[in-house]
Amino acid sequence: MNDFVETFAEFASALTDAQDFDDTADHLIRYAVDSLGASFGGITLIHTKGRLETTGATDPMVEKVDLAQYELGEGPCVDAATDLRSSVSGSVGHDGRWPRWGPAAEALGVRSVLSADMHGRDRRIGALNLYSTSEDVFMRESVEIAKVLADQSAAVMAAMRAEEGMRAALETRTVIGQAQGMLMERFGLDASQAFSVLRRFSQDNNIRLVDVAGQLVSTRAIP
Amino acid sequence: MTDEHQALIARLAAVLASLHAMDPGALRLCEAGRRMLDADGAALSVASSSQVMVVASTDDLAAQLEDLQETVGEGPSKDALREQSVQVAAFTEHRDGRRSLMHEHGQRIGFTGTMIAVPLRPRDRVIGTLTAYRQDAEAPVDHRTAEFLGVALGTALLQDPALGLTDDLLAEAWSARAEVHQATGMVISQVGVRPEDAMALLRGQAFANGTTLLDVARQIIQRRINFRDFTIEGD
Repeated sequence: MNDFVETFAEFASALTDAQDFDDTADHLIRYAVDSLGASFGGITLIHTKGRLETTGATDPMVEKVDLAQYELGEGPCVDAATDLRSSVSGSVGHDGRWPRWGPAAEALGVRSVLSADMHGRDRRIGALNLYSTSEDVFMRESVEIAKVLADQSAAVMAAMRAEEGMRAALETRTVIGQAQGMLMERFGLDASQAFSVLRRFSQDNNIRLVDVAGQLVSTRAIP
Repeated sequence: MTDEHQALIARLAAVLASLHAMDPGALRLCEAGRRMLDADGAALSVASSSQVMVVASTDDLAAQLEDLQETVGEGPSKDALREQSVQVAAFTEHRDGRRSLMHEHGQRIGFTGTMIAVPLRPRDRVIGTLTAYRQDAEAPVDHRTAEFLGVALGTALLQDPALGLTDDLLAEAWSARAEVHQATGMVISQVGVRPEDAMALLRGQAFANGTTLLDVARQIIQRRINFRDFTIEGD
C-alpha cells in the first residue's frame, strides 16, 4: 500500500503537468498499467449519441479487444462507459456477463480485464480499461485503486475538454461571423441570409461550415 | 491547505450562498468576485488566443471598460491574460505611462479609479479574466484574495454545470460579439484587407470617435459607414 501512496503522489504531480486532454489520458493509462500490473491498457471515450472510441492504447491489441466490444455492444468497457458500472474479471472466456465478447477476447489472448468508469462533474468521459494476458491478475482492491486514478483524471479531463470546447467555439464563431460579413457586403444580405448561404454551401459540398467560412475569409474569394 | 486559504473558501461560499437567487450562474460568480474585491463593478470574460468575450458583468461600466480595452488594444485585462498575473492599475487625473491610450479613453467615458484584473486560471493556463473596478483609486488591493478568486472562479466556470459556461450563456454573450465579427467581414470585402487589419480599422474608428467597437460595428452593418470610400453617409 505504501508503494501505492508513492505512486499516487507521483501520479498527482504528473497530472498537474499534463498539457492537454490526450496528455492527461496518457499519464493515467501509463500509471494504471504500471501500478496494477496490467499487460496493456487504454481509455474508451464516450461521444454524443453514445458512440465509443478508444484512445491512448498502449498496444494495438487494445484497439482490437475494444473494437470487438463496440461492435458486439457488450463487454466491460461498454458497461463502464455507458452504464457507469465498473467491473473486473479474472477469466473473460468463462464470464457469464459477456457471453459473446468474452470468448472473442480470449481468442485474442486476453484473460483478465478491469474497467473503471470515468466521469467528471456532470460530464461523462468513458472508461479506463486494463487488460492482462494472465488469469486472475486484478483484485477487488485493484478496482478501487483504478477508480481513484480514473476519478482524479476525469475531473481534469472534463475541465480540459470544456476549455478546449470553449476556445474552439470562440475561434469558430469568429471566422463564421467574418464570412457572414463578407457575404453581407458583397451581396447586400442581412446576417441570417448570409448564414443561410454559408450553410447551404456547406451542405451541398459536404464541407464543414467553419471550413467554408475559413476559406472565404483567408482567400477573400467567394467559393 | 492554509488557514488563510480555508478562510477565503468559507467567505466565497458564504457570498455565493447569499446570491443563490441570481441568474445565470456566471453572473453569480462575477458578483461574488466583485464583493470579495470590495469593488463597485466587475466583468467576467473568457478568452482564446485571439478573442475575448464578456460572459457576465455586474453593470454597464464594467462591460464598457472591457470593450474599451478591446478598442484600444491594451489595458489591465490584456496584461493579466498575457502575464498570467493579477494586475492593478490606477486611472487618476495623472497619466499612467504604460497604458496611456486606455487612460485617455477611460477619461473620455468618465472613468477614474482603480482596475483590478485577475487571470482566471483553473489550472496552469489562463481561460479569461475577472476585471473589477473601483471609483476609489486609493484603497489597497488584497492580492491573495485576487489570486484565490482566479483559481476558484476559473474552476467553477469550467467545471460546475450550475455556475459555468452553459450553451445558452455563450450563445447570448456571442450575439453581441457576432456583430463585431460580421462588421469585420464587411470591412474585409470593402477594402480587401486581412481580418486583423479590418479589426484595426474598426478599433481606430471607435477610438477616433470616442465610442465602442460594438457601436461602430452596428453602424457598419446598418451601412452608415463604408470604409471603401470612407465617407460617413448622412453627415
